[in-house]
Amino acid sequence: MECNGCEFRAELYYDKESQVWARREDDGTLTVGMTDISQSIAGKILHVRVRRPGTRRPIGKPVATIESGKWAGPVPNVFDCVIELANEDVLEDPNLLNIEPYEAWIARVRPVASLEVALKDMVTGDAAFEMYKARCLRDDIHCERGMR
Amino acid sequence: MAEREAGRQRGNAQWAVIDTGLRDADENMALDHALMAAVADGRLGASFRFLHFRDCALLGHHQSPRQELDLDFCAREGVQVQRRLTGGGAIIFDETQLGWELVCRREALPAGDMSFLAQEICEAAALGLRQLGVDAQFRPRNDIEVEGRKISGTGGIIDGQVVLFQGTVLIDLDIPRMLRILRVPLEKLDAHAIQSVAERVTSLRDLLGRLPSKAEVKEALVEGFRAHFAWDMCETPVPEVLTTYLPEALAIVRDPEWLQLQDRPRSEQALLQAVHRGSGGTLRSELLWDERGKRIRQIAFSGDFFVQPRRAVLDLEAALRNSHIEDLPQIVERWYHETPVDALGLQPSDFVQVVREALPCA
Repeated sequence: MECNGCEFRAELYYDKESQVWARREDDGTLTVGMTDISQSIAGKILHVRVRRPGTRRPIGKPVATIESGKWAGPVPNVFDCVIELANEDVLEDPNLLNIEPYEAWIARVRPVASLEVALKDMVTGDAAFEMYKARCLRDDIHCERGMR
Repeated sequence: MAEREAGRQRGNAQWAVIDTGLRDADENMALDHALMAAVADGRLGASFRFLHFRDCALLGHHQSPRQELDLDFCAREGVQVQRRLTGGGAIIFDETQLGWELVCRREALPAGDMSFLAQEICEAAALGLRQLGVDAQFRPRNDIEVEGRKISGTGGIIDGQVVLFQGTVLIDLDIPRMLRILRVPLEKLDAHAIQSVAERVTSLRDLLGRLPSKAEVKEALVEGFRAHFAWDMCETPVPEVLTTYLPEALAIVRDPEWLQLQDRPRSEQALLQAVHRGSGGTLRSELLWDERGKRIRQIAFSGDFFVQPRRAVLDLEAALRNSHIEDLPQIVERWYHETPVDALGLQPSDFVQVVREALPCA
């Protein structure tokens, strides 16, 4: 599924601005990453830094920061969590976030409360796609993957 | 073009211009945190700040102190080391330079993508510098330059809906000192190294033949932003609200962990060089190589060759900054075909070759 060339995956959970995605894992953790919209807005990503495993990150305190061209910025965090793991492949080659935003996850985190509480402000499925499309159209975002 | 004009006009018209005076690096960096927090909380409106620093080195947000700086030299000489919120490379700052920045909500700035926004802000700053009588221009991807030589570096951060974009103005510059701080060893600090930087960086003193006052430069910059964006910019005292945010912000930047956010060995970022002899002359490359990301962080070409205009080579260096090694041939080809280069026998492949020969296991 896509809008303006921006890929969308219905099985994932998204924040209200469609900036980040989260995937439920069997062990009770969440895998988080940037959406196609976010990587396109950011442009060629040169640096990624993920907070140390074991670090607690409350809502609003970023799990990771990225840098692309002239801009740096935190990857938004919408649930209270503890970082368990950073994706070493992405740390090694941050450009993967541009090439395959839904495969190149950034971190695996464990919500401090239950998964349900963590995901209560995120949207999935058709509702998420409507939100995602609305963002693409509102801000006239066109996606391009694979930029180096 | 009409879209561009419309974008500019969408910006917020009211800006407070503040000058936080001469400060240590940690206070200035803490003020960046404080300004962003105050804007995020809706307790501060769009602000344009001038910054003055005591002797210091500022790392880009994702840089490692060990990789970028001669930390022993900094400690010996009392050069403070701090980390910026914004990205980009390490810079030195002292009382002969002026910092400027804007902090606001996203909607206070023209609509458009992030590269458009950076370009718009840089063009406003360049317009300001032109009021001083120098031909300052925005150079795509990087900074503000005068005839190919950098006079202002810039960078930004966007956190949710809050934007901070900042830049420097080199009013004067002590190149040997800059090189020492940015870890060029004493034995390599020769006339060639100094000349090489002097060909790529300039200062208002250098260009004007006099040292303009900071008041003059400040006025010119404000005029540039006012004219470019049609903003109403009004000088105001430093907002009282910042004092409520400052203690927490100072605690963040004074925590040793802040400086060690990124700590990588020097070996992952080597200074490499090679010499290539082709039919067009002898070409030398010197590059800062990011082994981990397989990227050219910085590069300088020199040697015995003829290229006109001279700034064409500086433009190629700028285009190659932070590029992935796989993109090298395309970038060089694009530069060769898009720039009116007269290179007397020197081919794009010569530039590609001299970079590749410098790399480990070339």
